[in-house]
Amino acid sequence: MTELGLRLAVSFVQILAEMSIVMFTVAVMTLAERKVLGWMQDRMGPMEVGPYGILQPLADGVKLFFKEDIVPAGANKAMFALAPMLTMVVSMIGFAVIPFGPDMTLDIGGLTIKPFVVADINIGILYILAIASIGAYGIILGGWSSNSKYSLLGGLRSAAQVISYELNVGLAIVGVLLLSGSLSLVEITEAQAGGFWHWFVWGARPDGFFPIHTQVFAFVVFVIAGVAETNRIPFDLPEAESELVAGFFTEYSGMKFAFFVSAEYASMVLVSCVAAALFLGGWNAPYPGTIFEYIGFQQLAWIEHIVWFAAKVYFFLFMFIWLRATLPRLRYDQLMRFGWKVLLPIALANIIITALTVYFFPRG
Amino acid sequence: MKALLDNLKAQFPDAILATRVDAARAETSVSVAAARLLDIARYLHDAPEAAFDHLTDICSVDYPEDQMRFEVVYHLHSLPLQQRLRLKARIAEEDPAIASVTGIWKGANFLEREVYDMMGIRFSGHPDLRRILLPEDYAEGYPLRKDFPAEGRGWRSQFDFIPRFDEAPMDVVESEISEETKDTFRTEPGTPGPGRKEELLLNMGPQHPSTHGVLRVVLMLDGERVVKATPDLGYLHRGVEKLAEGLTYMQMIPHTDRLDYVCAMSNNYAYVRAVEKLLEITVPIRAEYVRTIVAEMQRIIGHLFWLGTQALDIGAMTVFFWTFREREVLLDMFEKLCGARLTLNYYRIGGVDSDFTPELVQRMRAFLDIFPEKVKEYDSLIASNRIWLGRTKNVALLSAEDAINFGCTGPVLRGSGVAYDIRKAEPYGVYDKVEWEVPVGKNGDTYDRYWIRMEEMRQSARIIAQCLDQLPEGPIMAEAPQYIPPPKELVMRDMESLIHHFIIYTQGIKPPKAETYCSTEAPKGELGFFIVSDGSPRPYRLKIRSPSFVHMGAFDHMARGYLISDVITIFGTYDVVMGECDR
Amino acid sequence: MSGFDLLSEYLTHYFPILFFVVIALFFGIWSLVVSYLVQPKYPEPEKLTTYECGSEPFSDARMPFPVRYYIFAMLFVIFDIEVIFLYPWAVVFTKIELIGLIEMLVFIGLFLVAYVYAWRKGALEWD
Repeated sequence: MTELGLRLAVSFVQILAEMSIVMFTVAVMTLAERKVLGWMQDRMGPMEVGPYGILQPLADGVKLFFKEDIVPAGANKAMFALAPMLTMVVSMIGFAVIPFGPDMTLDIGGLTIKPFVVADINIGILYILAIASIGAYGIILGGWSSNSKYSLLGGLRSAAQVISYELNVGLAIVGVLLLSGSLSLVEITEAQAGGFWHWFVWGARPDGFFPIHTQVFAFVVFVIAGVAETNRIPFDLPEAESELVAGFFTEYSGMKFAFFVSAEYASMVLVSCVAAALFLGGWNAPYPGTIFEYIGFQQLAWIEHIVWFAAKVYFFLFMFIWLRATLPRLRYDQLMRFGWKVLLPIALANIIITALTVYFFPRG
Repeated sequence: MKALLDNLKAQFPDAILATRVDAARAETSVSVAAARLLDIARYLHDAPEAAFDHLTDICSVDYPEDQMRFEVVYHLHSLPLQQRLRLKARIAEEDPAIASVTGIWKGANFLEREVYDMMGIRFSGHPDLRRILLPEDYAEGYPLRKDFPAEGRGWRSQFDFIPRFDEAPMDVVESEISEETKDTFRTEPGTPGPGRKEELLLNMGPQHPSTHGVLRVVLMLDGERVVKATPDLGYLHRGVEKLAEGLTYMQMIPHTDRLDYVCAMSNNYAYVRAVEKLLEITVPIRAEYVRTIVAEMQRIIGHLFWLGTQALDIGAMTVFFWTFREREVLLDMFEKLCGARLTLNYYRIGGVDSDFTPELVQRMRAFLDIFPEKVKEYDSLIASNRIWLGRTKNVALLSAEDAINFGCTGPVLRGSGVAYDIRKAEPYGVYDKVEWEVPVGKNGDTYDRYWIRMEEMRQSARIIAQCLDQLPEGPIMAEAPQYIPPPKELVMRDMESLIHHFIIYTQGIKPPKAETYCSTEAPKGELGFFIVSDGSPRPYRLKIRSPSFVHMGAFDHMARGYLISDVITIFGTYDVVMGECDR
Repeated sequence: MSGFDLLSEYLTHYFPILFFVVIALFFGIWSLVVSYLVQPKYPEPEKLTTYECGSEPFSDARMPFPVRYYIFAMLFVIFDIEVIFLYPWAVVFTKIELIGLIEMLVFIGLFLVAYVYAWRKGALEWD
């Protein structure tokens, strides 16, 4: 087997595994959202399909698969099909740079493989930001091509949301970059090893405990802007069902609708992964080293790392649901004002303060 | 009142045709010449000794035998002086036209359109005289005229309901809506607007998740800002008023359930009170207590329903489920009380259907123990939530003058700072025997109306608690053999009672020849029934003054300049129920 | 590093992403096509009309639309570019010493001036 072929095969396996994990998480999320919302609202959530309704996502998927796909007359048919594809693909490929587990290397047929990250590129953060911006195109395109006014309004709202919150995401990350000195998500995660006080949200120096370089403000800004980027309550204006019926996907049905919905959940997972990697130490445990290491199973330490990463991601996902159960929706102008007049100054101040503290109290 | 009538006669000696003071029912009506109506109306509105600032309702009655066939009835109400007056003007069939009073009371706009729609009376000077409840192209005439058959004239049979599968699908959607139709939804020329050509006309409703039923509003938009909002009503019009003319007084009660189907008890109550006022029956004291308790339970249910849907409109979905949890407890009690949960049909002319048992008293007390906690729980989600405050404060402002001028009532009026509550102003039931307060807002924004309804729930709980403590023993039906059938147990055993029962149920009750208007404070506002009786067992004319319909008249005024998101909160803040609005 | 090595470097690191795009696209197209083959198709004029709450749409949705956040969009484009300038600076911050700090403080200062100016001018007021 040639080297290229082997590389292809390994990538193929990795990508398939990653897509399966993401799709599985999306399925779990659709169920978890309904279940958790149900419990928070004194009701049961889905109960009919399978025990306690756990097969509900499967049933939903099958139903959408066999559903008639209606393309409204007057829609721009090519764009109408392209928009959900774009959104879906973009929400998937963002995961390519996410390190799910420790930076291990495996040796397969003379090739060095990193099993827990598909593409360890040194500009991972930039890549994520670029991908996130493209995702909004799918929404705007979908809203415009439907030739429905509700969709159009939803698409335009989405554009407004992107320009108000993308900037804050970018600014919030700068603080992290100052601490890590790298754009690679793998290296950023590794820089946070050794206990929760090394996580950037706490921000202790490598040899100390005092949170002198804390990124907690950047963290808050990033999470809020992340919720806005994924169009979730309280920032779900592009689809605000009580105002715009379903916003940009009003006219969508069947598989294309499923793409939009799964893309939304996938981008929630992506944002959660990025937030965990940037601020909560990624796959690092909140204590130095791993338990497996202490009890002598060093080669199994990666399991513990992955569990910690998953735990952090699911914490964020739970937060998304929790927000939905708690908060009302912002209005268009309030959303813009909040992004530009509240989050932006906080993020800017964070950069200046971090730069000063890093300069005067170097990280060694 | 006497002084006012004298004054009127002095001012308009030739125009006042007759005055009639109904002492028993405490009602005054004045017949005036149609030609001078506008002057008299203006005098009644402006003069300090009259001060009829509130136009409660406009209604029309058809007397086909008379030379002056149509009678237009204006129900006026003076909030500062707390008096009501009925103004009547007759017009002939040949040229059924009368001056519009929209220049005096803005609320007359929708009311006059309804009269035009139902009776074909034209209002000269009306800014937008179109059909309102019936379709624009309704070709059968005017349904509330006496010569219009209740089953219609066959227009419906021409509809093709079957979907056209054989036609090829269209490729391009061509708008078939004419420019004239579009013009009705555009701003009037000359009004300051965006000054651009690219206006966007958007249908919101009838099939929309948050228009509270089948309300349709056509929005003229500049970006997301509303330039003009035109409510299009009537999607749920069932012709209840026409229907009532063919029903006996008792048969009408279940139909009132279907008006404001969220608060059926309140409608029952308003209707039976109107009939009792017509019949001059006094209800036994225990029945009065039970009625008050049940009406306040219904108010809590209505406000819970409102809170849930308003929060859902703004995006807070949890509140909705939590309020429905408590609503369920109350509905279970209704089920125990009368067997139904939604369309209750519980009130009877002269009393109530079944007694409020000790078990129910106990359950109600248990509910009242936990209820304040639950209200706090809802508040914990929204009352101090910045987003909620941002979405409700300074949104849909309505000044007190405008609120009165548009004829608003209930929480909408009180939110603007007018302390008018029929339960205090004209006490009925046992509202004067218990202690409670009328919450009043300051700014007239959505937040104030929210706060008032929350407070009203607490006050309702307070009223119920006192009523339960004071609840006396006694009968629950009045003694009036002429009008009220004997109790069922007697009918089963006693021959006289059986005959009595048979006669009342087959012939109906025959009220005196009279007319009366009776208003009740429903959760949405003033729900009034105007009954014209000709002495027969069926009402000659029954007019329902529904608060939702009147409030929709102020919609455009409240929505202009706000965003689409705010339009949704305005639907919610009216607590509009289309069953009542469209009748 | 020779040109070939650089290419191979890119291939190793970026090729998986391209491959990911291809697989995701394939997955998407496959689902659409298979779903298209198995789904029922009953087109009907009423069904294909644009949704506008059950009423006939007044007009086509393709119309000039006043976008109220045009100024925001302009500011976004400018600020976003400035943010991108911050990235390389942040990455090499520890290596460029005091001069880097001062330079960037000046840069952020300019950013702030622009921001405050926009705020004071009312550009951040919606509508």
